[in-house]
Amino acid sequence: MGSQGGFNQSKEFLDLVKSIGETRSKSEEDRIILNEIETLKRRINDPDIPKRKMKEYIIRLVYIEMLGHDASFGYIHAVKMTHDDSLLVKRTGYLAVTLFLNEDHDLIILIVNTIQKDLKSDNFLVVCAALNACCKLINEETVPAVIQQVVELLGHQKEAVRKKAVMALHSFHQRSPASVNHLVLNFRKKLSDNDPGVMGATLCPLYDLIAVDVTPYKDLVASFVNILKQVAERRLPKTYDYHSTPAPFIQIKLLKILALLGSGDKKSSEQMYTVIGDILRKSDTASNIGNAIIFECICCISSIQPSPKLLESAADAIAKFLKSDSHNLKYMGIDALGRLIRISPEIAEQHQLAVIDCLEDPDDTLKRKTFELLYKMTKSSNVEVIVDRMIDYMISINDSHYKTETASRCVELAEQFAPSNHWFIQTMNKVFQHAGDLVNPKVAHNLMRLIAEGFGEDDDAADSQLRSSAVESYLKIVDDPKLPSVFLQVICWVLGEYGTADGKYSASYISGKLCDVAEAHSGDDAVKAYAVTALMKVYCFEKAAGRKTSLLPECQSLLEELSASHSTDLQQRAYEFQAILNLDANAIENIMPLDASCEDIEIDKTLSFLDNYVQTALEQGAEPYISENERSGTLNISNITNRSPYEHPTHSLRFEAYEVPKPVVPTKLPPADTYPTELVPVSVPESSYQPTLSSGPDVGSGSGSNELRLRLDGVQKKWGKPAYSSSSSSSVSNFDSRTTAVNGATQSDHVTAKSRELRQPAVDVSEEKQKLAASLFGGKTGKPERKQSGSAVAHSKASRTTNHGEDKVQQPTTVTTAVQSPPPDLLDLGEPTGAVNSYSSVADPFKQLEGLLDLSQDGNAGTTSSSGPDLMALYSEPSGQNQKDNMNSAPNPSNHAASLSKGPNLKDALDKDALVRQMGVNPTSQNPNLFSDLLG
Amino acid sequence: MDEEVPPLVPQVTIANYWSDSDDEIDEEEWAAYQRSLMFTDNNSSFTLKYIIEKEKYSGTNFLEWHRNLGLPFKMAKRHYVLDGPIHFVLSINQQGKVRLTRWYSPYSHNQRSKVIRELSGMILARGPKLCNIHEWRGFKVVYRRYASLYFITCINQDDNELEILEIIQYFVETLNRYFGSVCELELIFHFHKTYYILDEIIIAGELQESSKTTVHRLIDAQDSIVEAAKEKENTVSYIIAQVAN
Repeated sequence: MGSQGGFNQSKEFLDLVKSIGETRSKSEEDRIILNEIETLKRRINDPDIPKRKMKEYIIRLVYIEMLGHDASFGYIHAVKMTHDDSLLVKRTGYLAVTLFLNEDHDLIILIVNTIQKDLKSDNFLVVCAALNACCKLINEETVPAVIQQVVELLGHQKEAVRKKAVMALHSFHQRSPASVNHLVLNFRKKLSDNDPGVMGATLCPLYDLIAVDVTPYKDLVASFVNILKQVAERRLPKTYDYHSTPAPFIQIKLLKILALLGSGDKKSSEQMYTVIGDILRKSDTASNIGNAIIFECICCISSIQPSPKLLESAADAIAKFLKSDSHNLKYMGIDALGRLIRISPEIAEQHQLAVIDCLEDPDDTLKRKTFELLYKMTKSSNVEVIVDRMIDYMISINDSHYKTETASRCVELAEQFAPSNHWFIQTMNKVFQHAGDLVNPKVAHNLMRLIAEGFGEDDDAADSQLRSSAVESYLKIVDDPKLPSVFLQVICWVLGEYGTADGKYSASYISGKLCDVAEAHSGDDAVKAYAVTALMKVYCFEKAAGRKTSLLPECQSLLEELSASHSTDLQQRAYEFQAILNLDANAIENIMPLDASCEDIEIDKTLSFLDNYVQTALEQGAEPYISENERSGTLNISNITNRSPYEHPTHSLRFEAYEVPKPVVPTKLPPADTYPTELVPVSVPESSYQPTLSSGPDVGSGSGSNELRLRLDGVQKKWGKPAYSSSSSSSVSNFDSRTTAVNGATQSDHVTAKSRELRQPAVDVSEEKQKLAASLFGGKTGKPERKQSGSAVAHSKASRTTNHGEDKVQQPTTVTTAVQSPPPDLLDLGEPTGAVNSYSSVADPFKQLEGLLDLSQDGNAGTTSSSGPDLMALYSEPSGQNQKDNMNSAPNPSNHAASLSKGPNLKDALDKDALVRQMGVNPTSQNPNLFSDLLG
Repeated sequence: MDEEVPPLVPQVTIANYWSDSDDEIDEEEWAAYQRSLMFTDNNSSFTLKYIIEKEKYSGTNFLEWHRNLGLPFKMAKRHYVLDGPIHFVLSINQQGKVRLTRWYSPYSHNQRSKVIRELSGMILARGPKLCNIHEWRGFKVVYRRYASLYFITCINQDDNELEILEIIQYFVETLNRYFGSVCELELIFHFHKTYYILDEIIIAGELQESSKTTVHRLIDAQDSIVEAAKEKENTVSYIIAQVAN
């Protein structure tokens, strides 16, 4: 059939198609189609159109729909057309309705009758057309109307009908499993159909059924293996060959099914080994379809019980994929590698350079896939390199879907594997800066908590260094007008809490910045609330320290503005601020103690200090207090329901605590990680002077022979088996202690140099890649010389860049100390670190959580300082009685560690909430789950 | 199989062609849609559709609404598997003009044109040597180019891309055998026939027949009826129809 030779349509339609073909823009096309729609609307409602003409109209409607326009005015005519006696017309009708209607369209009910009739037709083509329509149109409600007939058609003499009946049943099963479940047996029967097409079609529903529940089909393993063997041995008719591969699509489907059946089942898996091995060997690596089968084999091998021999051949096949020039095959190779490393992590080692190549490939799809692979193979030893790369990539993309995904992966990896808290904070900063709005707010709370808690140690110097570095980094970026709200809240909180702590910045400087923030983000109430509370803290600290303070003019005007704010929360904060400022220094110090966010707050829930007052009142004839329960007569209602009206007031007054994050990081870190946390803070000052180094890799780079921190060590370990890695790590640490000074410097240089090279393509490509590979995968154990030389080169190359680093190291004598006490980071040798190791203090997370409420240590002082909330305190009293015991036990760390791990403790949360409401000093948030958040 | 095909019209870049189209895809709408795709099971009253339609979030019922919403989500994994592997098949030419669309998963009109617009922008911009796979909104889009025509399919994340690529090739080979030597013109003027052929190969998003011979036999059988009908038309009824017109 030539181009327009056998064309059977009118000139009008031809012209339409041609004019569409000549359009130059979508809007031009739209105009033409709108015209066409008008014409058709007029004509199609003409009562006596000849069938042939009608058929053409319907095809024109299909055309309109295809171009994305609404042709719903003609649907009913397409439905009518399916009623026609002539197959020719009927076929067009069926085609049109399957294209027009979704399974939930109202018109479907009008077609069911026709389908029923057609399923009974003598002409198998009519039956086929009806079955085609069934697949698309029959929905849950109409399944019962046709299902019986479709099942009967499974025994039809024409294989085309049987095949379509299987497919139709399959689609019924997808839509309404319940109505087909009793017929599942039919699928098993059809598996042994004489026609390979029917058998092939049956694999589709079986695959779905097996995906839902494997167990009933375990007995079919042998049959599937047998079929697969026969297919691979070319027992099927030649017509199923495709590019001289025997029935590849059936093979692939069978391999998918076997993967499901063999997963976690040794006995079934063993039956498959031979046939999978055969197929893997026989498949044609030159053709696409051959590779598709090989890929499916790899997927299957990675899913079933591992067999060493198959794993080996799978690894070989992956090697071929990765070495191929075709991007498709590289992609599949990366994908396959990602599946296989779950079982045998060591195979990635041999492909490290290929993976690095893919990472730097201009093809975005390949890059993404490679990042996915890296994500899967992240360990504490390579997390810094990988997360750095991911962040760079995240910054470079615009697609918000993948930005979110990459951001959440960065966060996840950082939380899981962070080598140090400092690195974690820096990483979080970057993620927030570039994808802040896409990150879960809990991450922000985590960050605040980390900064507040320090490292759960009593090493105050390290903690305060960390804080001042955080303050410094925040002051640098706070002027960026595009920071996301969550991040601004973190910044405000940290600046308020620690901005003036190290005395480096004056209160007026910090408060000026905070005012700027509040002003620049005047639309964001949460940020303003954080800012004003932070301001209050700054001034309180100043006053408590006995320094003379006066409000900045902009701060004064901000307060005035907020006092008249529409948000009652902001108003409250502003008024409190003003009230507290007028108190004397002593009271202020009690209300706002310095750096007390982690302090435990002891609350006298019985309000015993009022006992005297109550006693006097009672003596004077006052009525004794009746608890609310008794008053309302609802004795059995639990505390929660009792409280709930106060819990979520009508949004007029919200006094919610700082959102304190779940203690994710510490719980996820392996125990050994408490070790680095003591030491790493030392690096803080350096990194703040040297932002290029601050990204993280330097922190851990030289920090000793502890497995989790020593870069080289970890690198060596990366892909190794456990036994092997231990030996390698010891050898490395030997090496390390001999050359610590050089090595530490080299390592960090190496990282710095690399991070630069990432931005500007360096000349020495292969070396750079090797280094990256080494940091990602661990150098090949077989070639230590290469790695060493590589790092040596890096050292010489970057020696000028480290000059500042070494300036700071200053005392070369400390190097020896480093050798004696393995952990210290060489960059931080100036700091006294050795002693820290001996600390074994257990941080009480509950204490710290509570401390974040930022209340004065003495709850009573707070209560008395503002007389209004006292009433509320009385309200909360009755339930407080019940919880007294609970509260009293609060300081016991082990108790609360347990309660934390168990999940939110409602009672405590309620107590805290009540308390917080008394104080009224905490920022709000929209988060209704605040308290579950708070207690993790 | 990559025959040279004379382009139908002068080349226009894709940017021009779709540039004056309207709004961007609404992300929220999409997210909701993708979720709904996973829950096509109408059996339970806890389907997403049910919750979205019947139990609308009114501001006060947040907790309940959220809990209900969670139920179908828990089943997501299962339903995801139950979705056919191919979500849709598209064919567009170099300028981004649509030549064929077949949707196996439910998409509204709006979504359809948004999908086409987004995909054509992305795929036509990709260089020739890059891989034929594009990850898109949690799905994978596999495409193959034949002269001026692109065939695009959308599949789930964990499907075998090479297999899908070969299904496209198989479809095009079948078209080629049917039309003699297929080119874009055939698809333009015989798009309904293309649909019939596609329906013989892929049904409900699954490959139903992998033997070319069988497909041809079926198509030929249908065509013979068409021919017979035409002959009949050429006699009496045709003349009557002409007169009636």
